[in-house]
Amino acid sequence: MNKKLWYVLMAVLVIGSTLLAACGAAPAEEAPAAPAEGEIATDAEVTGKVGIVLPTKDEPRWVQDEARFQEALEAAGYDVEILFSQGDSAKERANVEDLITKGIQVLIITPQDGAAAAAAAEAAHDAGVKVISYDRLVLGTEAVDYYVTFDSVAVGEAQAQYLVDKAEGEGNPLYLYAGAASDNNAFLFFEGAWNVLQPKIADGTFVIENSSEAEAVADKAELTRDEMAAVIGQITTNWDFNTAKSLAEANLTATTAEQKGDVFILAPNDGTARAIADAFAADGDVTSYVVTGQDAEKASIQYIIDGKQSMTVLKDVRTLVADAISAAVAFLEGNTPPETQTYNNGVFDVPAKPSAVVTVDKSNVQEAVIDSGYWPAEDFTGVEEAAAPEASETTEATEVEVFSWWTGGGEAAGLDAMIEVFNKEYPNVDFINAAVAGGAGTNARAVLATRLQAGDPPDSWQGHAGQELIGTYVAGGQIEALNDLYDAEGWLDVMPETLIPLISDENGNIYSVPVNIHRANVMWYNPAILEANGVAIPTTMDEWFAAMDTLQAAGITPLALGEQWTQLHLFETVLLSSLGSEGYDGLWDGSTDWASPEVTTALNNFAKVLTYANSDAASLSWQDAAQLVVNGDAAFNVMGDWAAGYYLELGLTANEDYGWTPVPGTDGVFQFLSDSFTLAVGAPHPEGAEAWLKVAGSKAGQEAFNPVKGSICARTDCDPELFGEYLQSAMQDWSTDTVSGSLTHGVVANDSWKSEIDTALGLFLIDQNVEGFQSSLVAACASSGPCQ
Amino acid sequence: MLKNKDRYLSVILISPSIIAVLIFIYGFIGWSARVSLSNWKGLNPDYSWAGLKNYIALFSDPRFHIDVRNTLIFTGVFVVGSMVLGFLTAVMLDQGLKGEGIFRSIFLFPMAISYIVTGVIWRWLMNPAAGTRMSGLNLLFSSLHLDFLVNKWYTTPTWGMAAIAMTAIWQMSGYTMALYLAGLRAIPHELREAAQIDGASEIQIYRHIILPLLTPVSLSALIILGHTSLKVFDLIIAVSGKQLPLDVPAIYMWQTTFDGLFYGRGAAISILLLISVAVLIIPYIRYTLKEEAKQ
Repeated sequence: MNKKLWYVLMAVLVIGSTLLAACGAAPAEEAPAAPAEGEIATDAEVTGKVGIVLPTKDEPRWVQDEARFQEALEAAGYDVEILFSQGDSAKERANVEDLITKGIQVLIITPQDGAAAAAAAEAAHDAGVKVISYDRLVLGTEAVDYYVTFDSVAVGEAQAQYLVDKAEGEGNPLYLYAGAASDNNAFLFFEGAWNVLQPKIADGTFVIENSSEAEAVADKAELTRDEMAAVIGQITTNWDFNTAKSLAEANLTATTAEQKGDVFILAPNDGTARAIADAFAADGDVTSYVVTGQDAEKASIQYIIDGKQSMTVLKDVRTLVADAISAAVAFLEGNTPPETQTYNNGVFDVPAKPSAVVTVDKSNVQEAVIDSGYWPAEDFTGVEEAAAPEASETTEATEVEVFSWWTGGGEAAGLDAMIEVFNKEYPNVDFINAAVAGGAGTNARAVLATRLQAGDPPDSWQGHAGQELIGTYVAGGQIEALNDLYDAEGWLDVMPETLIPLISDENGNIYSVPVNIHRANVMWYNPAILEANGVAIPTTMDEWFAAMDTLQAAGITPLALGEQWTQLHLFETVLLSSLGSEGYDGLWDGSTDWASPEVTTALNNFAKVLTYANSDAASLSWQDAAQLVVNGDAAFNVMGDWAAGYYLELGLTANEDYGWTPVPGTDGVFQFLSDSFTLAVGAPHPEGAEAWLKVAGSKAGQEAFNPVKGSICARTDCDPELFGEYLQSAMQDWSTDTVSGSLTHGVVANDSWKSEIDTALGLFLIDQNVEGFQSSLVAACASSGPCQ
Repeated sequence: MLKNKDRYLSVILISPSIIAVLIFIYGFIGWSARVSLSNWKGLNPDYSWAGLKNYIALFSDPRFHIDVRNTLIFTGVFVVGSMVLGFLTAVMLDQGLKGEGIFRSIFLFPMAISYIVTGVIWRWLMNPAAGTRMSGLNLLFSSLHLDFLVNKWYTTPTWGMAAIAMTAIWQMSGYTMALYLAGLRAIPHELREAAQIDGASEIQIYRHIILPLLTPVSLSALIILGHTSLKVFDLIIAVSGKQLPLDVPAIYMWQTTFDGLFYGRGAAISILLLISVAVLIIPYIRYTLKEEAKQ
């Protein structure tokens, strides 16, 4: 009988204990943010006017420059007016005077004729306008404040350096070619090349095979103009590839087989380089050749991909535009642009900082020319093969398991885009996508916590940059420092300085690779409702309350709110608004007292904001709440900028169906969150994980991911052209605003602290007791924050 | 008494499941109990002794108070509602009406659905939005001019839990009905006839004859419904997600353990849940076994 009792007891306890295995699926909270596009009202003040005079509309180069100047200066908040001289110096003068009367403060001018433009420059200078000479130098006047140009000498140096880097041993045959002897630039290019080559000729690394004039001066480090003219006269191509080809063929006929073999060729530009390369390739005694070039012409890029030309020097005009703009902005702000070099214009030395040129060869052609958007990939064949062999040499066939909560909408599409980049670069690493759905990552994190405790970590997983990472995984010793990877990839130069401390411990070890940035403190509004009720967009807490009073009196729900986590999101923005970014940041490092009267004020503000919200908040997801605004059921909604992606998905028009502004009182502060990827301690496939992290941190990876996901790049060098207007403005704000972190999305508090604050908020939502709320917050900081 | 050989055989046959149960049930209960007495917080196990600290903290934790209150409301409404409704439908079906099989199936169907599905359907039905956005049951009531029935359902302060209990009643009353129907069918007809001959009214028959005879059925229903309601989790998550007004111990345990990494506290909640279920079930088992022993 007793035995029976025991069996039954056991059976019952089996049932009873199933409660230990509570399970279920939470409804999706923070859902996919899709590609966001739209327009943003620039909030920067217009503080200056820039006039630009370009030579002619007939050359596409200048038309492109016009568009680039226009866009960049307007985005930066300046007035800009651009006029064309149409090849006429008189018109140029008239344009400049026209601009002066319109009150410009800075003139950017590309003279049609350097000497003729002097008078126009002087007129501007006399009117107190700063004159920037762009790409061509204004000659014979002191009325030039700055010169923006590529350094022709540096181009020659880059070409020669490439030859030197490729040469091994002694006695390498060297063939020299130059541009037209009538062109001053040809002299500058040759001067640069000679600076680098001469010591290597003197020490026997190279032997000049095709120029007796050059051999005669081979021991002179600096050549006079006449000596150079003699050399160039002997090796000139006249910038003409027929001339180049026949000269090369003549040289090859004149030299013996011993003077060929593995040869090195200095060719001045791409057109001549291809002609010369063809001639050398056709010669049976030439076993291999290294040939330089310049200008990154399309045909030469294809030659480089095909291995027929070795290198070219890219002078990206966009760099020149950017440098001209930063010089203009420096003048407008009362500063002086940087000076590293001067150029004599016949009267005085004009200060300048020559724009950087880029050496392009097969190893970086993808990145420098195609990924940067200089030429589109579809113009070339065999691009992938050019880059792929290098990558696969470094990685063994392996796999990588990457864990995330990106399973739907724009997030999943973005991840897929990044995986595509990964598969291209690492075709022999098998990518295993271990994404777990549900609950804005809370389900995934529960799975992850279990796997970590079981000692079965994924190779790399997603974590929010900030305390979620440092206070949880780093504190738990679960992830590896990545400083070596940062050094090797040069990420410290391209990742924002404000971000690095958030993913580092106190010893400066960096623990993750951030892929994107989202903004939390955005308020979305219904422009039609505001207009109909004569409500201006509020910029302070008080204005916001007044606006919401007006709307409430008119029978409109002022604020759309969703379930509890969206209320926590609202809470953090109100804290930021009430305390300011410094006070808010202090909450998380212990320098702002949670018990202080300022925090009490913030909590009262929050309590007051809640009184304007819809009564059914608890039953709405964030999408539901965001939708109330565009449906005209509510005026405002506070949500992160993934809402822009959601609105786009709904097919809505920016600034018509919805508008946005920083949460009142937080203008100039960018409250951010960032997704990043880690390397597990004891990762089963460390090489695969490293390959994945390299892609996640790369320009190509981030440019593939972010426009689709609807966020901006964590890197600062992504091409804004790829993004919609909302995101472009977010990129602008990110680079200028003060940066604070988000609580709800894991930046400022570790998981334990955040969950305690969430509980305190939940209790407050039930009892509306501000005093009790504050004491719970104080207790939370003491139990899990820095207030011990 | 079994023969020795049979005894060994039975022990051998049953031992794999006993061992599995020992490890996977009692082993883990023991491990949870140990964790509940530790300071473990964060990703890495920390078994340092904390005594009853976690339990004491829970008893003064305002969130846990809400959980207990919500559980009591849910259990009360759900158990009473299911039993009353189940009993009434069983009595009606017991009258031998035509198409009894169809009705029985209809009442039982909700039980075949998972709590998640029930939750999602009722989340929509119980939409608390007012005005032009009104939908679900509120819209139905409103268009039938039954405006006094329009309410905020699960977002009602304090009593929102009762609305969730209603959805559970919808799902489980059919099951209770089946239990009662089986009980009613097992009552010998002679007893009713004897009572009728003695002049008892229908109500008296139910009050004095049928209900007492149904006591074992009622007890079973009470226990089954009671322990389901104590550990309710998925239904609430599906209706409202993780929001404090509708918090219960199981949700608190999940959130504090996996979102907040308070493993010690989570384990303490799970042990308290186990104890509360045991308090309900063990006396019932003892009682049942005693009854069987008498027979």
